[in-house]
Amino acid sequence: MRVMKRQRGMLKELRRCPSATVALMVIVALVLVAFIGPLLISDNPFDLINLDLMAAYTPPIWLDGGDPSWPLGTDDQGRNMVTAMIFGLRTSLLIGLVAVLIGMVFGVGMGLISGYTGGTVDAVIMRIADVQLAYPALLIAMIIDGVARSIKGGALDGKTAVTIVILSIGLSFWVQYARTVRSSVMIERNLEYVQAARVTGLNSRQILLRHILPNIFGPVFVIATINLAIAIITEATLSFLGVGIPLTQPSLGTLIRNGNTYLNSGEWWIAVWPCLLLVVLVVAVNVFGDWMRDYMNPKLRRGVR
Amino acid sequence: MMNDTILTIKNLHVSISVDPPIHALEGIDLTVQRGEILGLIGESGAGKSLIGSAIANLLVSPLQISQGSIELDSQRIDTLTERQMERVRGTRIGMIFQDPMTSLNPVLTVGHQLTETIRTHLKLGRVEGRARAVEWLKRVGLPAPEDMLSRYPHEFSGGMRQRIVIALALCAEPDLVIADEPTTALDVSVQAQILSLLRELHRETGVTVILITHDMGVLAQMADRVAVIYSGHVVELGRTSEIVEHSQHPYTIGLMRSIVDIDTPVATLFQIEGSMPRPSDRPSGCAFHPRCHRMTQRCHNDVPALEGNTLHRTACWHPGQTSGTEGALKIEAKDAAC
Amino acid sequence: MIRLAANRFGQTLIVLFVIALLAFVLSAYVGDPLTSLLPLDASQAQRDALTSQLNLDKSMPERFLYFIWDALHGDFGISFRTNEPVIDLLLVRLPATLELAFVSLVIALAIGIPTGIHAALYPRSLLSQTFMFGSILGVTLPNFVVGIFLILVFSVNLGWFNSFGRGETVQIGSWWTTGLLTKSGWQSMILPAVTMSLFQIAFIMRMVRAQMQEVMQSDYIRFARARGVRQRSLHYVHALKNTLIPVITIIGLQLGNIIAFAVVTEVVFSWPGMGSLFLQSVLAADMPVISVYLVMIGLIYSLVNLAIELIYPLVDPRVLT
Repeated sequence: MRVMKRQRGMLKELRRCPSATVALMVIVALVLVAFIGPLLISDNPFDLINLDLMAAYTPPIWLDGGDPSWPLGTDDQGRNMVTAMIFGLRTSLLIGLVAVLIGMVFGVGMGLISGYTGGTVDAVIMRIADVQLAYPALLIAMIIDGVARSIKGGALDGKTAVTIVILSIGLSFWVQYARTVRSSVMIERNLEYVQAARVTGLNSRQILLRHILPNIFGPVFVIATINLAIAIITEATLSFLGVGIPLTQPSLGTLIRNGNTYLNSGEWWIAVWPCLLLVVLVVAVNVFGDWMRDYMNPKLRRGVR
Repeated sequence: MMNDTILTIKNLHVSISVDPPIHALEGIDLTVQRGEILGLIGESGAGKSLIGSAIANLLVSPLQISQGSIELDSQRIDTLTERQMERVRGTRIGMIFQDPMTSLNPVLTVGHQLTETIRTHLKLGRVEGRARAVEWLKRVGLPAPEDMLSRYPHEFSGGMRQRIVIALALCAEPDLVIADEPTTALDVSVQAQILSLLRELHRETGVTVILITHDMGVLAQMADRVAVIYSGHVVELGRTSEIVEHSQHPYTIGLMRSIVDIDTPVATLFQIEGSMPRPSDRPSGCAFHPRCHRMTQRCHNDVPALEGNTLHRTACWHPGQTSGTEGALKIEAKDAAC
Repeated sequence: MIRLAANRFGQTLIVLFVIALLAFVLSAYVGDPLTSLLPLDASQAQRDALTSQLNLDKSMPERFLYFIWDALHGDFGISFRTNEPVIDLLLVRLPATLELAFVSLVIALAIGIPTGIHAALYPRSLLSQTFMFGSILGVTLPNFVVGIFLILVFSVNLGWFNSFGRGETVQIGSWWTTGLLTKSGWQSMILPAVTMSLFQIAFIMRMVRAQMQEVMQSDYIRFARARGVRQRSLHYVHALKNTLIPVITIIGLQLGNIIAFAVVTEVVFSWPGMGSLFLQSVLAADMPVISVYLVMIGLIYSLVNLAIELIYPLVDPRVLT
């Protein structure tokens, strides 16, 4: 109930800030295109059956040699840039969302454990968090990828690669959630001890969960939106480097990697369109995330208690 | 002491620039005589600090001077540009702020802050500037002044820091010093020392002082004249003895009565009922009338102007001393919250 | 002061120990050196020789001690991919990465600090609004996208700069090579350095602006103004010193990100530095190099942060007493 009331107030505030409204509309539009688009497109451009090599390297429609069937041109395998990007967008979004979810669940869990148990467990978890600060998600993902390749004895198949990317990005986020949740738990614990003197027999764990989870929803959500943009960028970077999503089920990053080889030879569009789409997506998520962070802040200070 | 006017404030309005504008100060008229100590007294939010800030042109937006004029030595200073004000502040008008713990730049040495102020305004060389700085530190009572120059503010106690602040305010030899609650943030034992230091420096240099405080006891010791500020208006103005012993405005009377001294019987604590309105909620006519037992229709309709003679003026439709405790709210000792 | 230093030093050592342990486990137990370093038809004698040389037959604690001992002597093992000592691979590439990082940091500070100051002092000016908008882009845009666009505009279309490699380098001393002394060296350096600095510029600008705005609201600035301190001194002496001190610590924490950016930038521009070496090693599952990289990042991060914590008292007079 509390969540829904906040949402209604939020929409009203949102209308006052034009850039955030535009950002939200862009995000919604992209999400729709990414998830409904593939259902409407009959030929999956990444299904090998559908490749039309004769159409390869077609430039966009307004240049010499352009063709109306491929308004933004085709890539080196003859894929339609438009459909390729729609599928790529879907992959990028999915991976980003799942990675953030994993980070959130793991991070909140760790925060609850750390805050509730205290003592050595808490100290160890927080120390690990400190050490992890030195390593950005990108590097952690690369190291894990290297280890996996070593164990598998060579290049990784699609499924493994995707799992590694999602897990390593997701796990790089846990620290922020853990810290926020942990401090909430600790505040709550102290209050609880005061009450415990008077009221007996209540299941402390239930009280903890019932009091804490509604409280942390706000800040956790804000962290999640910031992380979403980072997740998308990190995945795109990993794919660009070649240690991310393979070309069989590519993300926008993989598409850019593919197009990068043709920059100097003149077929710039193979890289540029996915670049632009990625930028639009990331900027929109960031702008909206920034606005949401500002919006949530004074509310947080007013508190629920 | 010469009896001429150093500062004239006419019909000063300080407002918050919203729509409709809210007047934090309304129609302030004050003249300050050269060499005197003028006290401004009022409770928090009455606007006394704003008067000080307005004189030195240090108002921070959204506050601004919306009406009226301020003249220093018959020269308008409220219309000067920031660049021109740089030549007024420090060397013609000095300021002392309330909190010594935050008034000094923590990463610059005391010597740097002093010598910079001195050399900027007095055009002295490095050696002379330094010597002058040492002189001032000695003058405000700091031991081993040469060593103190290379120290940082955090190495000093609150009382010592306020002495440094006073030295900084006076070292460029201003004609007028505005001291905004100079002792409020200090320990009681230190307060007396700082006040006597101010008194001594005033005697030595003849500098004019505007002393802003909420503590009547301070003004009773130090000030030649007192202006009582209530909700953005000057409600009473005159010689200190007049204000204290022969108050005419109901608010001033209440103020004097609520001062507790050693002879006050423990059973009676005095408090004026109600509270001072915020600028945005100021009532029509006389700002005090809702709390006043002399209130009539006139008080509700018209704003009273300061009337009286040079020794004592009051802004009230029914001025006069009273006997007894009309309008008083007696709080019995056993009910009083500590 | 000494106690503080010893304390932090001790904590750093513990962290480094844990990282070293992790790196050891990776390099010793992941991947098979025998298969990677020897040809398929190697004899048993050759295998035995290598086993003994690499201490593969010893117990774990022993191997860990050898690992540390060798590392302290500069022996980081042998690369699975190229069969060369890892240390040689690193040293060849170190100057390239260090020069790139240095130049990009200089650019970032030279642009980030002044723009941040201007944005703080004159927030309503058109220039400031442009800066702030630009900083949003700088913080948001993925590194490699920026690189690609710079290449397209300045290298492919305008032909002003080089987008591949380091250009001509000059050897200094026994192993350092520099690209800063040749024209082609600079032509190759500019685009990658700018790409790497973009995020840092935006970040530094925002930090400086936020900090300076806060400082300008402080009581001591107000008091200085009330004393008639001239505006230039007010901004660039009274305020600036208070602004830059906290900004230093934050920049130190960003180091991990900078190292990550180096990897991407080096790949985009085919820059022969440690970052691209790292990528090649990951793709080839070259465990010795990967584990060295792991330790190196942790080491740099810990040392830089330790240095900052030790330098801080020297810069901020409040800290010591």
